[in-house]
Formats: sequence, C-alpha cells, structure tokens
Amino acid sequence: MTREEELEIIAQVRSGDADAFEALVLEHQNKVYSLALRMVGNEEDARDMAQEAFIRAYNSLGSFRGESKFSVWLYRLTSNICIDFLRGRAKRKTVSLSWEDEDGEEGELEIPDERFSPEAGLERAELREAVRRGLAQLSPEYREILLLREINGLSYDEISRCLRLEEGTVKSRIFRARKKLSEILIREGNIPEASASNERKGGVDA
Amino acid sequence: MSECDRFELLISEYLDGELQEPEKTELESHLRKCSRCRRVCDAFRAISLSLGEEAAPAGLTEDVMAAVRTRGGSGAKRASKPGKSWPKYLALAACLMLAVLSAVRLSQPRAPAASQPDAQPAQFGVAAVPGDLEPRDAGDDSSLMLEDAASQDSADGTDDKYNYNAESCLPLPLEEPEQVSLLRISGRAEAELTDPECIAAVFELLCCVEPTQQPDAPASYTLAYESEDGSGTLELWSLDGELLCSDGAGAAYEAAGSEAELLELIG
Repeated sequence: MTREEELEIIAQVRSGDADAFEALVLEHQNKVYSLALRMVGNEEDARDMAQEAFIRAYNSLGSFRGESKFSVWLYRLTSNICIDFLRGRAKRKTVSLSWEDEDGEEGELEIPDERFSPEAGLERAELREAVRRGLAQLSPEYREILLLREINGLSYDEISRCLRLEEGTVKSRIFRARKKLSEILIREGNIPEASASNERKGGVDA
Repeated sequence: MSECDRFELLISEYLDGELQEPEKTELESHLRKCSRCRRVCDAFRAISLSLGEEAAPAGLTEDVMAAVRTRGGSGAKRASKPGKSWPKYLALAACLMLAVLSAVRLSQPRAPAASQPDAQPAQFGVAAVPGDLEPRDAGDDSSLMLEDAASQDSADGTDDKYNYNAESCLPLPLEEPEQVSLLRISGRAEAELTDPECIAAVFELLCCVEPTQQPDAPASYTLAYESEDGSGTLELWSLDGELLCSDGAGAAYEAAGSEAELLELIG
C-alpha cells in the first residue's frame, strides 16, 4: 500500500465509510500485533492491545494530521497503550523486583517464570524465548524504542520525531537496550561468551 | 571509553543501516580483527533475528471491524467495549428524533412536520455522534486503560502531535454536565433539550481540544443551562464550521465537535 493509497483510505474512513478501515487493519495487523506481543510478553494481552490500538486509531483518526506516516502514528499509539497496560500491571503485581535503568528510572521487574538452562545453545526457539524474558527486564521505554526499530523498522529519524527525542538519544538508547539484552542473554547462557565468533573469520558478511 | 566501547555503539548503528562512511569502513575493518566486538555484533544480530514479525492471531481484523461498525462515527473520541453502545444509540436515536421535531416546531411553527425534509437526516445523525456517551465505568478494564492512556498523554506533555485524546486540557465546559436538566440553545438554531442523553451528547461536542482566543464577533449560539447547582450560559462561535466555546469569563477553546454535528444533534 503506498502512502497515497493509505491517505485515500483514511479520507474515506473519515467521511464515514467504516468498512474502508479494514484495509488498514489488514495492512498493519502483523506489525501492530508483533509490537504488542514483545511489549507485553504474552499472546492474550497482545491481542487485546492490538485490538485496542486499532479501535483507538479508528476513533481518533480525526487527529491524525498526516505529518508522519500513518504506520508511525499507529505504532506509537500501540506502544503507548502497552506501556499504560504494563504500568497498571506493575502496580497490581504483588511479587516483583525493581529495575533501575541508566536513566535512573525505576520500575517493576517481571520474575521469569522458569529458569533457563545454561547449556542451551543458539537454538532459535530458545533464543527467542530468552529474548522475550530479557525484554521483560528492560523498562517499557527501552523496550518501546528497541521494538520500534526492530519490529516496526522505523528509522532513527522517524523514532526521534515519534518519541520527541534527539536522534543522538535514540541512537544511544537503542544501543543500550541491545547491550543490556545481550548481557542478559550471555548471563543466561544463550549467547556463548567467547566461542561463537572465534572460529569464524570475519564476523560481518552483510 | 575504550576503543571497543566506541565500536560497540557503532555496531548498533551499523546493523540498523544508519552508520555512514567513513565510520562504516572503519568498523568493518575493526570487526575483522576484534573477536570481542564480533561477538557483540553476533549477539545484537541474534536479538534482531529473534524479534521478527509475528502473524496476528486469526479473527483480529474481524473483531476490530465488528467493534468499529458497532460504534460508528469516525469523529468519536472515546472507545469502549463493543456491543455495550447499542442501547445508548437507540436511546439517542429516539432523543434525536424528538429534538429535531421540537426544533422544527420552534423554528418554523407553521410548517407541517411531514413535509419538513430536515426531519430525515436526524436518523443518520446517530452514526455521526462523536464519542460514546457512557459514563466512565470503573469496572471496565478497557475503558480504564484508555483513561490511563489519556492521563499519561497530558502528564508527560510530550505528545501533542500524537494527541489522539481531546481531553488533555479542559474536559468539559461544566464540571458535572450530567446534572444539567435543561439546555436551551438559541442563535442560528433554536432548541430546548431536556433529555439527559441529548444534553450529554451536546456537551461531548463541547469537549475542549485546545485553548484559543475568544473571537471578537458576536456568538453564533448561546447555550443556557439549568442544573441543580444553578444556571449559566455558554457562548459558541462557528469558525469555518468548527466550534469555539467560551464560558463567558474570557476562557475560550476549540471544541471537539463541529457546527454540523451540533446541528445534527439539535435538528
């Protein structure tokens, strides 16, 4: 879908054609759901978040001014909904630990539901599972910025406009989120500390 | 910061396709000789790989569309659970018909109602009512979540571009519009509303979007209300179809609704 087509559909929805909205949902549902899934960490809540995001996007389409891409606006809406949900959940949690990230920001840490076996290798499924748990240990804000990049593929420029941050801040926060996540993975044994690349020549072939 | 610390930051940018020359070449040659940084690169890449796109669950689109169709009205400002709105809309439909009929009688007392074409569109007005008229339901998780989102928007103040919620400044021109028992509208159109649903619908239109200057021109509408706590008036201007609202004390703001929506409500 080109940006023009998208704006055309938005105009149709605004003029009262609710059915036209379906094309936007179909176009963006995977990305919105994936973002929500990594933000909240489970499929059931992610589905609710995604649904809420679309309904809210529909209801507030009047305030979408087309200054950014619709997708950027929609992702931001999604991550906002997820962050609010996580804050509410953190408040309700009885057993929890706190995190404090580099900004000195405190929050609640989800306790991983099971221990991870150190002998696990780079099995994709296991790695994904470990990343999921690692993400839960990042503050929602760090999670958001990393996911907008990783899942939604926004450029640093788009993220900086979307989150109202300097591009330098975007760059360093994404790096810090990755760094923290990789430290968790190394600690849990998902990424071997020294062996992975030593046998290979040239870690980068991209 | 060691040399490798600097390169680690560049790796992140590199993988995002944001690293420019000459740093790009510099990093690539560093990676060839530094196993520590290669490991970091591998780790970052593994994270990216495991964060791919997932397929949305089946039925998501259908559920969204069912909710959207039930609710109706692209100008709506507040979402709630689908399905619950039906009785409200039916009540509102009835109330709109009454309002239209009484407005017709007020403005053109001698015109026979049956030949009055304006009476028809009122039924369509139902779909154009912005906002759900339900009071906030504390037991409703989804509306709670929305409330949280709204309060966060206004609290962090960073987000006016993405400010999808109209309630970030003044919520309504009255603290308790549900207490209003009579609303008399005069000016370009005249109507007298007593139905609480109708009155609530009008006040929904008058939600504040953005503070603004009070216009010099005389008001297009005057709204006189009576409530348990007393009575008062509000003034409304229509500028290019958009409504500006003032409490008469110098505070004016852009309202959420348009003049067309107001007229649809009151007939």
